[in-house]
Amino acid sequence: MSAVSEPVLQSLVEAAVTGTGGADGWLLTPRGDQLEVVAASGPSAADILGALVAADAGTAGFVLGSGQPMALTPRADDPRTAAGVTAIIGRRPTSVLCIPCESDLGVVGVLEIIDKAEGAMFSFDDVELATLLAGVAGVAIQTRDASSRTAPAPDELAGELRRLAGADPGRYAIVAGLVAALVTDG
Amino acid sequence: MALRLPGALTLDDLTPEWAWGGATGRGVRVAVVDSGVDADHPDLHGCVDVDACVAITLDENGDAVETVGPHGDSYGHGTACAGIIHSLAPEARITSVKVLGAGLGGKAAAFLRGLAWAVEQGFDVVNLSLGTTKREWALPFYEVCDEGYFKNSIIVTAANNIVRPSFPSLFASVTSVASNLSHDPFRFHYNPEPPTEFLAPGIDVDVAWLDGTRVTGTGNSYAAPHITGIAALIRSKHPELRPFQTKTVLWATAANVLEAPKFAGRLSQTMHRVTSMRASIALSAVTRRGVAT
Repeated sequence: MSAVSEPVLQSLVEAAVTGTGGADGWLLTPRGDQLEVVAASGPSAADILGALVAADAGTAGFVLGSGQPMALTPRADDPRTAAGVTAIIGRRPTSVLCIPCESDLGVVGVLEIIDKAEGAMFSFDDVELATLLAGVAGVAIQTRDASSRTAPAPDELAGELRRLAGADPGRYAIVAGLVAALVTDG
Repeated sequence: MALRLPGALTLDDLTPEWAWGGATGRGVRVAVVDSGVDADHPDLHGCVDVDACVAITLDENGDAVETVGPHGDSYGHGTACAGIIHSLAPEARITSVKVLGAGLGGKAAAFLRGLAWAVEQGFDVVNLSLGTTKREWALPFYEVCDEGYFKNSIIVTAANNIVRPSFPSLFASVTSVASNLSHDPFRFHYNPEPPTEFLAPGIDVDVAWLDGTRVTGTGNSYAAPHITGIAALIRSKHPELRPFQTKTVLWATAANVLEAPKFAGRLSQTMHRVTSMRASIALSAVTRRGVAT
């Protein structure tokens, strides 16, 4: 799987991984009933960018649903295999830090970082730093989503206008007149 | 109704021994409003009333649907909270109110209905290590929490870990908890700068988790159930106490209050001690930046 991550989101994930001393990190945003990796940093980045995981399971799913950050360290003798994105990477994390990315619309993404250096646990300083960066990511995600919504493709716009013409000729006349005037003046 | 606290003539008589000495939580019902609880976890020792548990889902119209009966934990978080409560109040009975999991997507409507259900059922203590930052839900949560307060339910919430107002943790009718630096489960602190009123262990806490395992977790989510467990002990020993009295007992038995010098103005000393502690993001944000309620 491969995709192109956005520069701002990519920079935020890189800063979070570097600042917290993690090995890998990624940013997930909702896509339907799944979460998509939209930015990643670390040795496994190329393998997971664009990956889709279930939105209602795992640490990221909980953080997305609850809006609560989570910092966890499994026990060394925990026999369970990895889940979610870590299953794609192919190793069980020694430590996990998962922070919600919030905007005015609520939780719009999840920042997840794994494997703090030397087998250590993510500290409260790490939680604070990741939270600051996740906050910026939340704004960036909201801005990205808003931009994509306000610029429909021409075919999509034409379809909407046809539907409006059939459903409400009066409103269609007003909208069509405005569009025609703007296009002509441009 | 207790017109006086039995055996306590002054506030100085409110010691941990008076408050919960010898108590086990027997007779106290605790609701854990969360992601569900794995009742079979070996560290819960059968403390969950599985047949009385309820899962809240939302139908296509957004209306809450209540399904009574056993259910599991979708994430581990609810089991962790239940485990902490049980470790402090081993004979308290726990009921899981599942509001988070597959198909729910963390809807505030489900949180609200779960909390309202717990209040309607008259639970002695309700643990809500969850919240919503959506302001349109502030008033509905306010009303449910007020109802709970007046119906004698102690609602314990986790303060938000990040710099955003979260409901219902900001309301006076609940007991809002953030993290301190202690690893002693009975060592909690009073915060003189609300809305977060107490600080309890929430950093590197050993907690029960999915599939019968245990993990180490950090967050205010794990601080709140410490206060829930202690509140359950207090209520089992002093069932006549109402929420404001129980909160007073918690204040009086907080480590920084107990350890403060016994002379006039001692609370000003404890205030400095608490605010100089590295407690939690929520505490530092709320006290320094003055988040409005």
